[in-house]
Amino acid sequence: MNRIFSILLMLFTVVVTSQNKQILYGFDNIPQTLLLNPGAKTNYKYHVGVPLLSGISVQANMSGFTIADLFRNDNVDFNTKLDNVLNQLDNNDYIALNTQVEIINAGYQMNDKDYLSVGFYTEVDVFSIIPRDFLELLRDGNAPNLNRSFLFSRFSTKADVLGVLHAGISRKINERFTAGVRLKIYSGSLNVLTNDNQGSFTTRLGTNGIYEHTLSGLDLAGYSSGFYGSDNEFDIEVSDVLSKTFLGPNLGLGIDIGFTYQMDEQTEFSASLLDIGFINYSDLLRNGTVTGDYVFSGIEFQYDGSNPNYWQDLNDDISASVPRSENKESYSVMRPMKFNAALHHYFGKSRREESCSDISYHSYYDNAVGAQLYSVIRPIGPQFAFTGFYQRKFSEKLSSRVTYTVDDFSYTNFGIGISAHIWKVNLYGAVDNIFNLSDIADANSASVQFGINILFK
Amino acid sequence: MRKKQFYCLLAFLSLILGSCVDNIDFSQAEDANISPVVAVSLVNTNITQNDLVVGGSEVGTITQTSVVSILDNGIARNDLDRAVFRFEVNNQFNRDFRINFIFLDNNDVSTNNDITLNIDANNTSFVQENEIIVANNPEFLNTRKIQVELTLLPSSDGSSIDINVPTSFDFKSAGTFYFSFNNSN
Repeated sequence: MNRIFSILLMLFTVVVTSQNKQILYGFDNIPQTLLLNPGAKTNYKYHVGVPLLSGISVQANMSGFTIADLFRNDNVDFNTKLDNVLNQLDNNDYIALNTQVEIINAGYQMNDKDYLSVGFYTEVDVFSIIPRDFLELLRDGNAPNLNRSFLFSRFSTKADVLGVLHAGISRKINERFTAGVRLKIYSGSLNVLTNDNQGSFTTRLGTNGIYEHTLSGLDLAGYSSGFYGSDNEFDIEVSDVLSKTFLGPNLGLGIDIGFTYQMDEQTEFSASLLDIGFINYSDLLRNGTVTGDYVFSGIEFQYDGSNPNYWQDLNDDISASVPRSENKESYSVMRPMKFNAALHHYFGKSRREESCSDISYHSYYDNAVGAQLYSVIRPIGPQFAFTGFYQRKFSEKLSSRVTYTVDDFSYTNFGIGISAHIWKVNLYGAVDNIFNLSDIADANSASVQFGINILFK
Repeated sequence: MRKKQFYCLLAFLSLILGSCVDNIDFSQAEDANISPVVAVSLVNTNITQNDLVVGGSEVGTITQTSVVSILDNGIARNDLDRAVFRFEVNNQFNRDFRINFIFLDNNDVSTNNDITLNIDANNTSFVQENEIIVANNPEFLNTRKIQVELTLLPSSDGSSIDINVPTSFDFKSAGTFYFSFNNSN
């Protein structure tokens, strides 16, 4: 029982991140913007991220409900709140979590055109549809749900723990156009995947029996890597998980591409495609499949003089009609591909900079407004977020950006980012959903990114 | 300008550090009480005149037994509150029947929750429900087999079943199991 509660608690408290870093994208030439658009412009000769602190991001999202809906200490019976949450969910609600920690990040301007950047970061990425139907089946049972088909397609979960070794180059093609590419070597440490499941479970009033229980068109598959040892016993060692994130046994390849185009003196368009790639899992695998159809109306007693082993016959019949199998075959998982596109319009010339002729457009204007479109490919299809922003440069040492984002989780998501240059140290931070920060449990989404770099101009 | 930068940084840090989780109590999950109701068909049979007359003589009592291990798990042992058994019979014979629905343990010993159905002749829509409350009948949880003992009762007028007249006796049974999952279990 405690295990059931633990699983439920975990399910409801894990939050999701959609990996949308709309505040950082194209903001103040921070080195980490190169990870969001390898074709971003740079205005420094080289940079070194402070190890483990150059880029930390945590994003969590859940659609359909919030932690507060369930766990607010408001003297409302927990079961009432659980009912309310289940009732307000729909079949496309999901939870997701994404964290990235840069272990190392550095870059070097090779010549007037090319900026090379390399690094290594670890990532945890979890995405899961909330299987509302089956949660209701668990809560209510099948008796009050006669004739209702519970669809196994509602089970869709993908979780990865991986490390990413990357190298990218941003090339200034001409005064207007900068393009870039980043190659990535993924090293998967843990993976669990179930998706594209088919089939249904239905209980009806029957004709041959009082009830008729039907498994129809079952086609289920689940894959895992890193969770089970060779003896199929659940076995996870944190040290193993971490060590496998760097060129471990489950390798993959990926690529990021992007560009920035200066449309005129004040207007800039940029776009990027990230994580076009895959990981091939071949280590510590345990996969399973279930297929078939079955209708059960009850055990048919024969009264023909024999007394067969009805129970064994039933189990054999089910096993024959709904075969289950396990395998340890390697499998590949596509990375969740992301798309960013943004339009910046700069304005408000800085009087103190008017005499300068060799500074970038970024530096020449104090203000910018713009819009950004973000999309990520998830098992249920693409998800979108649309952001409008205003950014303000207070001085050469301090810039800020304010964003408003509409996505699956909220229509009231305001974010703020700040980037400060103190001596050669760049400190940046970005936080989403600022109006919910005082009570973050009541938010459907939250994200924080921060980091410290050393920049040499 | 330095002062402005300082205040901006201070404001940003205040936003981050001031964020909090207000008045949240995860221990409420311990109060969760989930009460699913599971309906499942159990045992059915269709008997014809040929099954009741063997070698020219009417059978008295016929019995069939099956392992049914739905109660042989921790969930049933810890979280089953009660079970309601429903029986439906379509008796086309001009004869009375008695059915003993017996719950046996692993040693084929009754768990003392036997249910008896008395079905009148020509009752084509017999329905009976019996409830077993686990707290009052804890030995019910030892049930591992179901035995259905069907007895053809003597006719009141001495008549016998005519094997040349197609006649059937349909018996269906189902259980509705009421579970209650909570942290105290």
